[in-house]
Amino acid sequence: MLTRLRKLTIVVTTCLIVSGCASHSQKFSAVEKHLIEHHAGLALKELDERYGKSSSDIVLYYLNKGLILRINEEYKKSNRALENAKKFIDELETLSLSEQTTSLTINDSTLSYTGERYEKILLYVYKALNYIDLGKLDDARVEILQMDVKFRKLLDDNQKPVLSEDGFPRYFSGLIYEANQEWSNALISYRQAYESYKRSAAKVPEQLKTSLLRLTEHLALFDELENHKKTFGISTWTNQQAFSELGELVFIFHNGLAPVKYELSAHTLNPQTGHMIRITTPAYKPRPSIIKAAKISINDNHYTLKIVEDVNSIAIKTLESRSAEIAARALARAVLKYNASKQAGRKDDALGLLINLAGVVTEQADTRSWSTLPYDIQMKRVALPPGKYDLTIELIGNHGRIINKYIFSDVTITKQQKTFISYRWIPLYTTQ
Amino acid sequence: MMNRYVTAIIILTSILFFTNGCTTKVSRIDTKEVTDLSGQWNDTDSRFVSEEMISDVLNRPWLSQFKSSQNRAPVLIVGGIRNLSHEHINLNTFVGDMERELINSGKVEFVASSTERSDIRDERKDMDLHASEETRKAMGRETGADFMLKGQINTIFDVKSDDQIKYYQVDLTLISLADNKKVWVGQKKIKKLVEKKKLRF
Repeated sequence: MLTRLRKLTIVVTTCLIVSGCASHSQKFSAVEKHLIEHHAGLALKELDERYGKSSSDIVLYYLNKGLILRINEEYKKSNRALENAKKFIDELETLSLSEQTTSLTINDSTLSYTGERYEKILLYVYKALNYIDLGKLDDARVEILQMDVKFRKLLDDNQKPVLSEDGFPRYFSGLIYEANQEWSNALISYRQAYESYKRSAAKVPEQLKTSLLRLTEHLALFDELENHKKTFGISTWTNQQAFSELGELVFIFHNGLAPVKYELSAHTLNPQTGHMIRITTPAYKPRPSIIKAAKISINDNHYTLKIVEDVNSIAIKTLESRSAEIAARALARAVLKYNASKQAGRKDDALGLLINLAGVVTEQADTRSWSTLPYDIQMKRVALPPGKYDLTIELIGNHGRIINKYIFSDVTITKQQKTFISYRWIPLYTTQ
Repeated sequence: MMNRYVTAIIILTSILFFTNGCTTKVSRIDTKEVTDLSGQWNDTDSRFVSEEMISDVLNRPWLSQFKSSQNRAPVLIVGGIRNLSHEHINLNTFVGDMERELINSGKVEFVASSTERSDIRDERKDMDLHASEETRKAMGRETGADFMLKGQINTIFDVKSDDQIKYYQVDLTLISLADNKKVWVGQKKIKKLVEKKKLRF
């Protein structure tokens, strides 16, 4: 009798694991489907329906909502959503006793999602970009200052960056300061960006090097200038005086979609007691870029964009750096669940089985991540005489063919100012 | 055995129900009451700064000097006030507070700012076409300002895990439009300590 019941339980559990309780990434794929098909409106509707009421995913909901609204060019609404995300991150970062307990007895998805380190930082970058698109440079500067405070808080909390994750946010901060004519602040940010790229052995963007040379020269920091000249092997650049006669186009291309997490699981059956044990951990599945190069053309001059933030690798590395902690929690949970069902089973066999079943079914990997971020961020800065320009971006596929082209007409370049242009592209055949 | 589980579940559910089931409560409070919720720049800061700054500007020698030389009250205009702080500050309420204090003091006169002026000029143009001869207001009769009030809000934030020190500094300058001379410089500082809970339920 009992063996039959046990067999039945195993069958039911397997069915439940296969079909039941959808993980975050499975749930979110419906939202992404619309996004990939370039229906941002439908994606928003789907997101509201699926995530509007979930309290542990509230940060993730607002992060994704913010980016989808940005894709839909609703910058004000996007900032409202991202501001909410920021508010909830601040609130939920405080350690919760009840959530910690639940996560140890059920699974990690019951913890309130507060974002990975790189996600918390990119939130400020996207808010600042929204303000730039609204023509509010001072407000973009506010975001940059807040981001700096966040950097300090993360350092205090001992959350360390992986790869060059701070490179672009710092580089971008420098650009905002420079747009505000704050040379020393800009230089400090450029230095921090340089350190971040260098530390991770990532390629330091050439244009960051020339900015460092130009500003150290302008601020008369000659020792530093000599040092940079030697290290970079660069002897000519546009000096600040010549640079101030021009305006600058800052073209930022947000390419594709960040990787998604999926669940890795291991099941085993204790042949003596018949107990089922299941351990799950999350892993990333990249959605590789199908673009070999992105180029912009202005007046028959062509410029190739350079990767300034490799979101895909940063996400994967971040998860790797936390994998030991995640596995330890999963193991601790398996032991707790096993003991609970064993103890219950001593008094009542059916109850023991039920608890074992519940433990196995609820064991799910936390597959949450801000997956509407791009695969990578590419940038090119072009100094131009003041005036109006038509510019074209061409995306070149792996076979050398142009797979997408977009024209920006009448882009105004003003003397001593920066004109920021953002372009987001999600290919129709992105894998989900 | 099962009964105990059922009872436990019922108790837990009712606790959850009662803690979550609170309705929104709204109560009116005096606008002068100091209310700090998040620790960010708020209406109290805006009011404090504008009141103090304005009482300072009205009690300095530039005012009496101008009155004795020109024999009339000076005309002021609010120019750009820049927010260079760490927070999105609503400059409109801040500028509004200051304008109100200045005008109501009766010691200075005020002209509309550049954004307000364009609306009024549009209206005057419209009057030229549609208003009657007696009520029509002519162009070119605006009062020019003698001084412009400019300024900026700066902040220094210091953060240590969950605690924050916020330091705000508001600098205002009154500049003579005739000769670019600075006739008054005002400064107001506010320092706040914001402490956050270390744990939540």
